[in-house]
Amino acid sequence: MLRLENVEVFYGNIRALKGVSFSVREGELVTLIGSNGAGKSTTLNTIVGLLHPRQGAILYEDEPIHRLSPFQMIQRGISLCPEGRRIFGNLTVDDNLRMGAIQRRDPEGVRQDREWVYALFPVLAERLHQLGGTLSGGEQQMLAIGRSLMSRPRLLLMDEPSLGLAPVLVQTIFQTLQQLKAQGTTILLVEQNAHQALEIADRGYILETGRIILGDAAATLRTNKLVVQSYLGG
Amino acid sequence: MDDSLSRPVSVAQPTTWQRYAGVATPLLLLLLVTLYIQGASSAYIQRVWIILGLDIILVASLNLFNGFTGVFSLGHVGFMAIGAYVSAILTLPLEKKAINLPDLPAWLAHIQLGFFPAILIGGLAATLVALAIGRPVLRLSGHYVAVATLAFLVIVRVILINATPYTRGSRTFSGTPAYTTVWWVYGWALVTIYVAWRVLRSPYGRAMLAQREDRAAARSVGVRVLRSRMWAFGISAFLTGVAGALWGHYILSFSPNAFYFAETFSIITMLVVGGMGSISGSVIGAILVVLLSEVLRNLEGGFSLGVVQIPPLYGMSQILMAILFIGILIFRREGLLGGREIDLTKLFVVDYWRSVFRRKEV
Amino acid sequence: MSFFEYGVQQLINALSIGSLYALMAIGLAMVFGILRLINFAHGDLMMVASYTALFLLIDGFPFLGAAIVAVVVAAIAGLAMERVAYRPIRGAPDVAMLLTSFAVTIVLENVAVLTVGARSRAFPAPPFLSTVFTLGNLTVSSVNVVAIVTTAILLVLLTFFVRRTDTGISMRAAAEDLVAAQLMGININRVIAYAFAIGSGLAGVAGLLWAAKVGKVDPFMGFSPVLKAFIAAVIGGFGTIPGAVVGGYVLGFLEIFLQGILPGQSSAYRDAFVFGILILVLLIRPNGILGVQEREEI
Repeated sequence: MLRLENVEVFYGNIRALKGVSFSVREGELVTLIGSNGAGKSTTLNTIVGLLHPRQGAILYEDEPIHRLSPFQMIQRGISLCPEGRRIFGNLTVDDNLRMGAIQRRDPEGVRQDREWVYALFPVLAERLHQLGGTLSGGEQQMLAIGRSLMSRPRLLLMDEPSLGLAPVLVQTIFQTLQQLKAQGTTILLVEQNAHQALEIADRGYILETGRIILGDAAATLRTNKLVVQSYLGG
Repeated sequence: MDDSLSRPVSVAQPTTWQRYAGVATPLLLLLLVTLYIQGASSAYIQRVWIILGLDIILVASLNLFNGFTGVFSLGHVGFMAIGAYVSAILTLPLEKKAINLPDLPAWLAHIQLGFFPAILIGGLAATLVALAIGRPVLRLSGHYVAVATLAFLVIVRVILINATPYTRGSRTFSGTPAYTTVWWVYGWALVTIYVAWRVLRSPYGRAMLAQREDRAAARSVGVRVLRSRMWAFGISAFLTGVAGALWGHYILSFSPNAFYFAETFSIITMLVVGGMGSISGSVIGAILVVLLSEVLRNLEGGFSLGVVQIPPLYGMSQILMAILFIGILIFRREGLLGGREIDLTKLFVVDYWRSVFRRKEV
Repeated sequence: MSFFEYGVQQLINALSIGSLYALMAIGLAMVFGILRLINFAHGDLMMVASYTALFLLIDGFPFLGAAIVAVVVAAIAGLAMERVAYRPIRGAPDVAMLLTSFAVTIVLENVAVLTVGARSRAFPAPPFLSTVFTLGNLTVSSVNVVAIVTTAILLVLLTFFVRRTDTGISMRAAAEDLVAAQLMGININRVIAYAFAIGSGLAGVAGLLWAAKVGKVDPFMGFSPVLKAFIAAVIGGFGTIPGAVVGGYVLGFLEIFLQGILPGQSSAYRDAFVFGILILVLLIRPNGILGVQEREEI
């Protein structure tokens, strides 16, 4: 479904991604693991077109997409739930979801999806007309995920959804991801919390200083010596 | 922009005489050109030469502040106005004072100073005002400084228009003695360039450059941002005030309209063309803009292109300058010199020429 | 005149001048909110609109028709400004953008001088904008009432637009977080174009009202109002529409108040006080009286 081929991204003169290649197949939940500054967010931002690679290609359903801009990604069914949530604090919960569906022209489908998001996160339904900025951290994360789902993505990119959340909430979020996968959404999950990410993922890649150093089935990675030492705290 | 500082020196360190030669050459050139213009040129060329010198002072002193601190002042023309009015009032002959400024308070009505002390007091008055407004304004960050200094400019204008006993209000202030000569102008221009140079090289100058690059880093090495900004602001206001005084004693009759938006924009254009943070850039920016706008202004009156007669288009030069300005901001934002300096010392280092020619052979 | 009547009189004056500042400040704030651009050339749109109306009126157009065309022309001028000058420099340092808008002002004003001449011309306002009527001891000029009512109607429409329509909500979203807005699939260029078109149209309305109030137009007529609008926007906390509106009215009341209390001679210094207040507001509440406190300390 998604394939990165030898992608190189620069910030000015600094090479942030040094030839990254990996792929995500339809229906999979793939996780990208790495420490701070390894280039995980850069990878996701490049996929959605916020950054553009200097070298290499990104293919989505065999079509090169690395020259497109973010709003064209939404049209193709790619949605990124960004790091740090970045919900619109001055808009109501409902309007936040409305923004997520800004490109859609099927009001009936949008209405159904909104009901679906509220069913997924009942707590949001209670706060319908509250400003996004007044929600708690966990609620904001749910809103951010819900907002990303409103474009009805076929490929959902998640950037550190567990960051700064209490363990109980992290559980909820991860359960939701599994639920989404079960409903057919393909997910690329970026996480520092390697342990839990590998629990729910089908496959995983390890990113270190701008390079993929390892990629395998999640179950295999969980027992890999290097992964255990560096990322699973064993 | 400071890669000129960090770039490895490819040629041998200049010896003392080479350094002197690097400084002396432009001075000698300046002297010769000025003498030539004084002796052989039309009054028009002499006028342009003096205006150029004044603009060099204005741009270099604005650059001393804007370029080195990284925050932008839109209010410097206010300091120019202060310098011009203060020194004009102080030097106005007593009998003219009685006629032109009858409502002047007694202590001012009975003094008449010489040119040099009047210039200094004009500059100091600008500095005092700068230090007074600097304390609140320079605390602000980024474009809020630009906004606040613009407000300062408006305030100066309102005061000039209303302080009728001192300024004759919006009417023309005339009778200023014609003291300014080309030697005064270029003397002060050299002082300005030297001061800007020293400020840049001093510990304070380095502090300013440091905080321009990164405020957090500068603070962590103990640079007091407000204090370094205040220094730059005060010195820069003094030199701008001096330029205003010189300008007043050259133009002789002026009104508050001279010290507003158009003048502000013209100085900023020179600054941006030359490149912020570069003193030689200021000089080059002033030269280019003054020459170009003189050429354009002469064409404004209409001219014939073979068979086509171009009608007079007054205001066209301003439009073209503004478009050029936008073009530079879009395509070469760092200005022509991009914060670097032209160092003529190199010309006297043999290795430099060797490296130039060797590069050409490749 | 009783104290009460005096109060009502001043209230009308303050509301009408405040309305004009608010109309101007909205456009500045909308654009600043999304782009961090202080569009100095915003004031020149007043000039564009009033000259357009002036020439149409001279050609015998009815006022309402001329006004509508003038506002549309202002909106188009705003769009052109964005496309030609501001889009190429988008994302540049704030000061570079501010200086660009300075240059745009110079271009527009000199083009006006070249085409229509630098001298001011009388603005032929229709009777409903140029009569003065008396109510008891009150003297009220109709343009003040029209200004207050027009602005009120436009504010209601604008509020509906930014709170209820997709484009309006997108605009607020983009002002809050440009990157997140892009990720939602919001077409940023489109939203910015809307901001310029609407803000410029409102500036056009303000220009017509201003011309009717002052009775004349000239190429530099936008200079002083845009500076004031700019203060209004800063007072309200730059970048939000409600802030701009509140700031506009606060400034209107402040000016009328200063005019009332400053003794004789010194009322000429009113503008100096007003701009002094700008500096004070920047210092005490850099994010305006409505803004959130997130002061950038040095």
